[in-house]
Amino acid sequence: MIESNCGEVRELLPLHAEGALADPTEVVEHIATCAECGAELELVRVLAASRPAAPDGLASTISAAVLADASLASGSDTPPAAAVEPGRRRSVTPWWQLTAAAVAALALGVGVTSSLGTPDLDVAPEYASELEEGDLFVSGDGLLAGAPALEALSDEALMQFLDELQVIDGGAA
Amino acid sequence: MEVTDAELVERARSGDARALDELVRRHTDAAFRVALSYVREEDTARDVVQDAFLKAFRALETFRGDAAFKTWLMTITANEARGVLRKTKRWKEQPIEEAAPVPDDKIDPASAAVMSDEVGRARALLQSLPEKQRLSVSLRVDEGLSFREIGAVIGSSEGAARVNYFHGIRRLRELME
Repeated sequence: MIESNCGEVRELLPLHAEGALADPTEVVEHIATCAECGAELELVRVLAASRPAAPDGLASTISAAVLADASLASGSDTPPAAAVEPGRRRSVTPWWQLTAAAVAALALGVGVTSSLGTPDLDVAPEYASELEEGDLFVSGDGLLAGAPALEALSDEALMQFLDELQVIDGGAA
Repeated sequence: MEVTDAELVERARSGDARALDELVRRHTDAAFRVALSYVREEDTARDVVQDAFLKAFRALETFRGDAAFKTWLMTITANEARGVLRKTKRWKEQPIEEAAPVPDDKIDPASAAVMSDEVGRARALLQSLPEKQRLSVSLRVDEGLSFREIGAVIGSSEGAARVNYFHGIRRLRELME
């Protein structure tokens, strides 16, 4: 038998505690003569016994969201019913594409109002007049750009904005 | 024989909804534990896990299979969790030498009351360790990841993951005595 030391055995304790070692002989024999490693094995077993699980229903919620997201991305008309909240209009554009398009349009809107001087608030849409420079940002992964700006809009302004982008109810993305 | 993750990934890429669902059900618990180890709030962890799955499946075409799907998902989950912590100004990287455990009085009293037994106490104390130590211990004990995989998930080298694991275990043993 290869002489085992504490370092090698300690690395294997989590696997041994799970019964995942193909041949636990070396660990078992070492534990029998090493109180330190034996105590550590007990701690690992105690930790493994308290392993938390996800809350009930979380997997189903995520599965529905993922399937709805996949359906939207592929243009399918039949996402799972559970994935669409009642009373909400369903966009045919995945949200991450929407925010990218939104930022482009919002940035354009800011540019237009800046080039024209003070915007006419009577005719400028709310989404243009409410924006400030700090509202626009691009995250590291590019997925959250413009989200704060959209969140700041009223429902009415948001719907006006989305309608103008033609991303609702079958419009072009 | 159980279908492997690699087979499910291939089927999911082809639009197989049941394969997507099975991948979610297999790995939600593990992803939740990773998220919870970072954010330490159940509601926030739920959001992190959902966002991580959405990002993972959107990027499924880029998954080359060099790592296990589980490890890849956990890396995305960890990135997502760190992003959430950065946004809420709570995330602060600490070198191992300077890392100090959260004092016992920072542990949620309600949780501590429920977890009065040894098992619950050990888990509560694990949550009090510095971030990389608790992640390294959790990923090793709860998920059985190698130190190389742990390093990939927490953004460290394999050696640093090993050191963090042993520091964490040693500290836990001290706290349990």
